[in-house]
Amino acid sequence: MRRFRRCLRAFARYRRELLLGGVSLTLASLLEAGIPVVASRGIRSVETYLSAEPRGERPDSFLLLVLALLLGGTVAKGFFRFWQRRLLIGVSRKVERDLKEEFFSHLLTLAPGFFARSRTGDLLSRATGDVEAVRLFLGAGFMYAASTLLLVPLALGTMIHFNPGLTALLAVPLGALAWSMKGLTRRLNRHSEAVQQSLAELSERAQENFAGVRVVKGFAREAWETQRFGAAAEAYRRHQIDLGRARAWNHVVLNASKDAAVLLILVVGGLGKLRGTFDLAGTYLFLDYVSRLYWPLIALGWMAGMYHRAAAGMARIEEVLSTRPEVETPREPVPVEAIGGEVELRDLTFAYDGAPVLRGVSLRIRRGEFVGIVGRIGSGKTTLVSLLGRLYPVPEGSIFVDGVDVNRIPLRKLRDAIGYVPQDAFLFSDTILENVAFGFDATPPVEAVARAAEAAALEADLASFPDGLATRLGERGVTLSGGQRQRVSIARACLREPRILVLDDALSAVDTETEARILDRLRLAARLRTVFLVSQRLSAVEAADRIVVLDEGRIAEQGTHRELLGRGGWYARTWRRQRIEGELERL
Amino acid sequence: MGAHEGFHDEETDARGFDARLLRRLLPFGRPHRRLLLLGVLALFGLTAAEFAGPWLLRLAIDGPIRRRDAHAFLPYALGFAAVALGAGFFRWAEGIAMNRAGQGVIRDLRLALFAHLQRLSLAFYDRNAVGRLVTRVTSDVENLAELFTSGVVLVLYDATKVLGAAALLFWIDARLAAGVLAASPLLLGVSLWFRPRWRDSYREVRRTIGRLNAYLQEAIGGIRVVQMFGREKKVERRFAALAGDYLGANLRSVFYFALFFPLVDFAVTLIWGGTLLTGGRGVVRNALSFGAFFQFWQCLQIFFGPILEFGEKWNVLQSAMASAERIVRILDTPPGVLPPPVPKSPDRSAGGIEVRGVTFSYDGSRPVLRGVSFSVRPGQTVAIVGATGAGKSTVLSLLLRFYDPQEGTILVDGVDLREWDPSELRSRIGVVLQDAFLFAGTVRENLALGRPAASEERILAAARAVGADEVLARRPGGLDAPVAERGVTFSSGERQLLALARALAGDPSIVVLDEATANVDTETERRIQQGIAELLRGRTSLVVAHRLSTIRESHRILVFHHGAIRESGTHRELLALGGIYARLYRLQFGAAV
Repeated sequence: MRRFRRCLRAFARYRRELLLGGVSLTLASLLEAGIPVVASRGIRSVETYLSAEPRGERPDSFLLLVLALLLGGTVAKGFFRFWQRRLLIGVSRKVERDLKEEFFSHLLTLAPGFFARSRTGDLLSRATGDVEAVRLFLGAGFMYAASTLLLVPLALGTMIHFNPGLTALLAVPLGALAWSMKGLTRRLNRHSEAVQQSLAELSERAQENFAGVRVVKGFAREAWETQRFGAAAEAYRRHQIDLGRARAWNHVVLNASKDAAVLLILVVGGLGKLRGTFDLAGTYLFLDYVSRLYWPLIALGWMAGMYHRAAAGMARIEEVLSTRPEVETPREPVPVEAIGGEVELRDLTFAYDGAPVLRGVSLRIRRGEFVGIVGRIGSGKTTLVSLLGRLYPVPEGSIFVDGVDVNRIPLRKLRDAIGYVPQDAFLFSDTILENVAFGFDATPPVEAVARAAEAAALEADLASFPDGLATRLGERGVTLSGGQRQRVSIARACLREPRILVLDDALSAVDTETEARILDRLRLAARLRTVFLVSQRLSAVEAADRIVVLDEGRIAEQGTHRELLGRGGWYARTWRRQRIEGELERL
Repeated sequence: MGAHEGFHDEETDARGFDARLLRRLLPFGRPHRRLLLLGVLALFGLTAAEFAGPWLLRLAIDGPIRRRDAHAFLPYALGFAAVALGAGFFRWAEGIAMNRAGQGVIRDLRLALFAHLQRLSLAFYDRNAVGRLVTRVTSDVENLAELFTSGVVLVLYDATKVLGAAALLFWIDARLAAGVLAASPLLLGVSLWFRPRWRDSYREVRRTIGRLNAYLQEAIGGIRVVQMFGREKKVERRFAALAGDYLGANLRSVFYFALFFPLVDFAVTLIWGGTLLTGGRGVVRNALSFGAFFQFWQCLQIFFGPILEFGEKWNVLQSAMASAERIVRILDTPPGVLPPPVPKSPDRSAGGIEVRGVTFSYDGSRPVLRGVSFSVRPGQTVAIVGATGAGKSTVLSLLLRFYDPQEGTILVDGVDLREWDPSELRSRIGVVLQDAFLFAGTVRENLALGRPAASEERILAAARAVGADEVLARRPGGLDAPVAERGVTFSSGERQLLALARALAGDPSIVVLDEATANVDTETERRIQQGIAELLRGRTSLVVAHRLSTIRESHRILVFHHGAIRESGTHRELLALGGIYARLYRLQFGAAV
């Protein structure tokens, strides 16, 4: 139980609901145990009346009383059961929410490196499947276990009072029921996980086939693909049949133990009636108790079987929660008033893990300088600009902003000073306004948003959308072109009026004309801010104050456009090649 | 995929029964009719056992117990045990048979659907999102199979049980039964009142969890933006709001769940109490034996079960019908590109291509190609150059018969494409597409693609010829090195080399190549250029070219502009022409100095 400590603490937050739910549960269990006694009294009164010679008075009024008690008891029991379920299951749902929120908040503290190492699907399944397993175990599982543990002694006490021998006999099938349920639940869990796994494989196969339909058709591989898919479908069927077998067996065991219990009661009760030691009312009482104990006992066994799944789930959740953030705000920060935008790299060497991506990069960027960063794919451009905002752990003493090591500047302060436009132009499925204003808690004035949109040359696009800035993006909304996404992402960064603006190949999908317009507007503001512009397309950096060419993590060339053309290196060669490509495009 | 469920909203969730749909799908049950029959028989056996138990008890109570005859009682106890054993067996047999039948239907249907999807043309895939199609072959198929299992159970088993129990109740005591029957609408009412509420609250739960998960996924995808903009708190609040919606939906569904059982309990107690009172009086007046009364009570429980479950099962069947409709819609979509009734497959030849006056449009209104004509002689390489959207890749798609042109014809080896056996045609063509798509599996599978012609020696030879053998040498396992989904563990250059080897491994007579423009380092670029030259050597090839090296070495160059050919000729001819190509070449010449 110790491994669930985090959840138990969460449960403690809902003390009041737990208490009221517990009281409801106790009262409902008491009534549950009492109702069969009342019913059997009614039967006994009839039985006594019938067997008495000569017949006495008909127990009409007593039967009415019994009926009234039964109805009243059922209503009261229903009332308490209702509150028991509502409160206790409600608490388990609240704990589920709390756990999800805690998980999510913790994810947000982890650096991008963590997400590069883990698969999104896996994190998602921890936040859903694993949390669900824990909730079922601690919520519904505990509730049923508690009500079983209350009901069983009460029922047993009454049953022993009526017939200790029969009670002892019944302990065998009922005990076996709970016990075998534990094993069966584990078996069911195992098979259903195999089913889930093979279903995931099946849908991945289908997904891949549909996404790669051109290759499939181009190579006339339809029959082969169908065969491969058929194998996956067959594997899935086999796992389902295993699961079905376990389920069928489960059914049989549950019913068999109940039937065995009923048979025992009938034989003992019947023989007792014959010998005059036991009456029909007693038989009824036992039958009723068995049917009332049946499900709680199953639930008890089920919970015991769920333990492993829940514990494994909890361990997987804890694994993420105990991952320490690689990047944290400094414990002893250097007090920084306002960031100006001067950046210095001092012999910066950086590796994600293994081979270094940046090797001994040194640069001094003046405040307000416009720096173009170019180079082949994999030369370290994105890494370089990602490190400015400490998206990855920065080695001590290698990056300085306004002369202060970035590791000494409060993280929030540092990042607030940087406007970041990522390579993939990530946008949320929300309105354009919300996306542009993402950097602010309260939505800034519309004029400011409009200005930022203008800086990103977005005004014409906005006018063409049905709802302008209020247009929704994503699955349920408008799908933007790659260039439009990039420009929204630029507007988002500009709205923050950052001292340092980082554009990571953020104009790749924008046509050359619009690119020129955006760059012009950026340069207007450039005297106020330092700009880092990473680009595959060299025309974007042509007008930069300085162009840095990276090659295998080192600075290969550096200078203005003219200087670099004159040098006849990678930059000059690529510049000419891109001009030809441009001509081809413009044919 | 458990974590991803609820991501795809569907337009229709439930619908009524449609005899046409059922007739269309019935054949899928036919191969499994024996198992289905077995399951139904077991169900009837189970019903019989369920009725036999109480009957035996009645006989025991009214017989030996009443007569106080211990010897005569024993056979009844044994009989009861036998009935219980029988019930156990039937329950087991039913579970096994129905599951096998249902899973068989699922597999067959899934395969039939998938095979049909393989026949549909690219125009269909252009219209339908991949996620939707995946839902069709996964959850929709599973839903539909419920028609064969739950549907059969509902119609045959539950109906028999309810009718049988009702008849028995009347037979035991008509007056009591009339009372029960009069009260049972109460129970059905409870079940029906809950049905829409349950369904709605369940849908709300699915909808909110879908949104919550989508947001979680989105936030993970945008983690850099969230952190760089320092918006962790904002995103947390949004997540908390969505988690709150999910909690609210859950609490509502807990409310209905918590209310349902007490209400049912109350209704049953009411009916049961009424029975006890009137029946008890009957017993007291000797109008009803104790045994009969006991049997009545047991039959009542058999009678109530299916009525209470009806609402839930009805939901299942309705969503099965909705899935059935979506699946049948796909099964009834005709393949856009039809194989000819008598397919021709000329003997292996050099593979000349002739394109005659082809006009084509994807949407039927804006033409992408207008009256394009050209030919490629056997063994020659023709390069297509032009701007984005000039129709270059479309020419390749038409040659592969992904689509049929609206006007004009394309001939390969003098035979109209529409008369070729499509798979025979494609097996003679080696394709390299812009997106060097790799399948999850091994390198070997990706190079061979299950083609009979692609033996191990040929794969290795092809890999060597295009220079992909170094890619293999770098991976542990070589040919058996694993490939992750979409080949993400290979660099873009490596993927291109593997795609070249894949095309060469089939020893095609025609090569269709759409050069990728992705940036790769100089060394890889040089290797890819050599690989391409190797692949094209001596084969009839049509190349959408971006590399001037590829263009210069081809026998003829077609310059496309707005769906038409603007210039055409050899490298020399085009230079002499002094047009677009000449200008391009001079630029390149300047670059070479």
